[in-house]
Amino acid sequence: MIEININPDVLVIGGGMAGIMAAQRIRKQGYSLSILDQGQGFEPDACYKMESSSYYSQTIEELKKDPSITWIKEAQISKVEGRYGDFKVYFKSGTKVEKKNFGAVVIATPYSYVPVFDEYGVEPDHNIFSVNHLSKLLSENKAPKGTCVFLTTFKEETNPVSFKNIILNAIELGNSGSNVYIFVKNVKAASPGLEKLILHAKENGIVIIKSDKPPQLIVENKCPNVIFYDPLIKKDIQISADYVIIEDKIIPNEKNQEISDLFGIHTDSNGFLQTNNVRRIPVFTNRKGIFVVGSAAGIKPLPYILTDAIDASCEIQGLIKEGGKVEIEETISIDQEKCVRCLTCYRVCPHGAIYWDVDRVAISSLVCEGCGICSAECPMNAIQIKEYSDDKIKGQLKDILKSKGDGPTIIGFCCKNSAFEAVKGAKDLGVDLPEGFKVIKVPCAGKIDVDYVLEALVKGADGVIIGACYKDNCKSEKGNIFASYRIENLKKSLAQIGINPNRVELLHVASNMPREFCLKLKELTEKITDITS
Amino acid sequence: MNKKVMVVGGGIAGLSAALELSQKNIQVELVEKSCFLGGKAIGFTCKATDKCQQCGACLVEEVLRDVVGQSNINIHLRTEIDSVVKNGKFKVKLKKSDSIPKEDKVLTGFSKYNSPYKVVIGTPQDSKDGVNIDELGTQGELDVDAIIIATGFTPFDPTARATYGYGTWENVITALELENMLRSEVKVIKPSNKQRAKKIGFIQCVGSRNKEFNSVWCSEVCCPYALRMASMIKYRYPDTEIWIFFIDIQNVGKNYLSFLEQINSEVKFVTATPIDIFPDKEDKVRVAYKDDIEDKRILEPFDLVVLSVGIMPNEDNKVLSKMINIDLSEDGFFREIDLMEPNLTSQEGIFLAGTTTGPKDILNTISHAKSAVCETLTYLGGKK
Repeated sequence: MIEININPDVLVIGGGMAGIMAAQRIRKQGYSLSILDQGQGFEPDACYKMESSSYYSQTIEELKKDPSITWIKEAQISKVEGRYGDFKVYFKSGTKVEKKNFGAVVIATPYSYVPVFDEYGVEPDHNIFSVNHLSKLLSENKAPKGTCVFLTTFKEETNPVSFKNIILNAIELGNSGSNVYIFVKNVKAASPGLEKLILHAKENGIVIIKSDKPPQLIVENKCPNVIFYDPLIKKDIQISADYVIIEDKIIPNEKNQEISDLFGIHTDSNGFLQTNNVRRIPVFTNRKGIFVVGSAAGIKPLPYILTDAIDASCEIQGLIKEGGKVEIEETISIDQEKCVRCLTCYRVCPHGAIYWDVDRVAISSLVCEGCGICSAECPMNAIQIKEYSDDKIKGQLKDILKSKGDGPTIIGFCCKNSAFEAVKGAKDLGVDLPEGFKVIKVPCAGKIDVDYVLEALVKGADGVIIGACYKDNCKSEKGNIFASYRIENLKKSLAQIGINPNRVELLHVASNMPREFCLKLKELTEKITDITS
Repeated sequence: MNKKVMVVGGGIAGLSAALELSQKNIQVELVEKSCFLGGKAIGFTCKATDKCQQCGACLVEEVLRDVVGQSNINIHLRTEIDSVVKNGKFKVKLKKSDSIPKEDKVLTGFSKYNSPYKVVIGTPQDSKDGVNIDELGTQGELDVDAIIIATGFTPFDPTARATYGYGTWENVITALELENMLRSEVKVIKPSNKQRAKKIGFIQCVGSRNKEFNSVWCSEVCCPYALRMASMIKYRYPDTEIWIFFIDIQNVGKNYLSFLEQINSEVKFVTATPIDIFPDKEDKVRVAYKDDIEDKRILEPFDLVVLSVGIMPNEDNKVLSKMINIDLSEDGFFREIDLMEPNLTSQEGIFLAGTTTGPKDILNTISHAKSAVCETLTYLGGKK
């Protein structure tokens, strides 16, 4: 048993809609918190302003009266140390640096925007501006009047959040007497209540023009003309616009990369702070105790920002409880005698569980998810996961191969999150697994050491199959990728020493597809049997 | 916390809520009208190509297995709510449901109380290991501290769209049936001759975004499931030809742009709402649609036509809403008390989870169910 101290304070990063919602919900759970604004100010995200700025202002007023909230304005994070239970965060404001400790962190950075003027080859002007600028004019009661044309992004297509905002702006323009046209490739309706809103807009005279290609925008004598092809009458049509309003493309906050680096959080390919992986649903990141809410994780309709905020507060409650000392069991250990301080484990750990402790490498059992990537990658075999130690796995191998029958024996190292579940499912379904197929459960494909595969072959297995999750479905993000590159390399080595490399194969599978897994398994075992017989 | 919560509905929303509650040491009474746990989503196929497409179908199986393994979840299959009386706590009367699963449509998870999770293909009566259907069903009264409504949705019934010939033409199926087929058979079969379907047409927005059917909402899930299945079928059987008839394509997943680029090279998109579907002499189904650009009627033959049916309110909502005294929205879904309170109802102690409030995909359903549990815990914590 190890004793660990959990700090009960929470840090929320971001003062936009997601940040304020998260803060409100976390306070409701009774935790003290600090809210950091990195310079964007405390105001609702522009894309939600029309939808619910009153909710935002009410909430923030309520929070401002709360003495348990510390507001950190216009500061940057310069350094982050520690782990779940005890993060040390250094805030820099001007030349002043202040350190604060937190038990958990909620990242709720607001969106950033890029108006797509480039797409239409124009510069902003008094009569050509962005949707966000229009919202501002509307809020100041300076609604432009005349013929207004909204141009959405055609290059990347819009999304339900931007589109809803455009519709809301359009309705308000329409209400103040303007003729409104919206050009869009696909109408984005996939958001609660949006289809009704679109219908309402249409009934109020707003014209939505769908087109495969973006309309042309030609500015003559400062007058914008929008020209588009009407496929029904097979003619170009021109609208002389008084105002052209250009979509603000929603992009991830520009600070996200910095936060990703500081906290060791993986991003998706767009730059949002949650990988595109169902295992992270709803608010999880690759690091325990660090959660993402709403706009930090992806483009989400407002109701889902709220469920994220509630979910994060609930997860924090589950992790921190009342704070203070907790006892945990040691689940993973490093043999300091064997360790050569190469830091391979530190580099490969997807969960930030490994750290440098004065003069040696340490692993936090509190943070460790037990995937075992470090243990398989360690060149000195110095790291052991208690539940899946090398001795235990090799012991299982020995037992299986001892009672080897006449037919071929194929060892299946199966990830507990996918292949192992599929095997269980097959058994429940009564689907026959290939004869001689023996399963060894592993916590992640990333745990499968090349040594295990070699040992299986040496001890008499005819083949080895590694059952891994699909790419982008690994609970530890990269366990399956480590597995596939190890197997690839192993196959090359096997070929060099004269062993048919096709005796070892890696199979990707989902836990809910037992039949498919059995079909693939059958095919492979037949192939392996052909090789060895 | 010595509290008891009833979760109504054993689909992905109810299962997620039950699991979450049980992990917080709350006793759960999980009530499911059908004889199976897992709802619709348990029949969904994995849609991975060479990589996961983030549909979340695998999570349903995992949550189901976890639920069945929990000792503090009592599962009441083939059970309905008969009445609810609130007197500080809730007194809930349960009754055995009359609904019997349709023959051959059963492919899902099965369990009785806390017995090990059992998958039964075919009807439960056929299976030697399955539990006899007559043994299922709880009668009696239970006292619970809170209730989570997770009764899910009813898929649009495409027979309402008579010219599509669903139920008449064998080779016209719903996307739900395609999901089940892919999960159990691993390939796409033409029902009339059991051969692999080589040309497939998907028709989007069947029942959704339709004033005529009083369903003025986008079901949010159909573009993602149809496009992901299309992409997965193309990956496994590249010689398959796939057409998608659509009104507006909705964004699919976080990497929509790259996905769109890829899917555009794999399938043919047609902007049209087909008028009519009927079989021809070559055992093909013909889809009649109007090509706006050419301004003419086209009859395109397919091996299989898949109707992307939308998410409609659960047909039991009206009865249930009266019983628990919570208003439905004009669309027929359960209504949240406020837009900014996604799980709360007008009745304290009753919470909403999943598609019972409107369309959601698996991931959003799980997220919504978790927040429902969070609200429930807050309520229980504050309640003396």
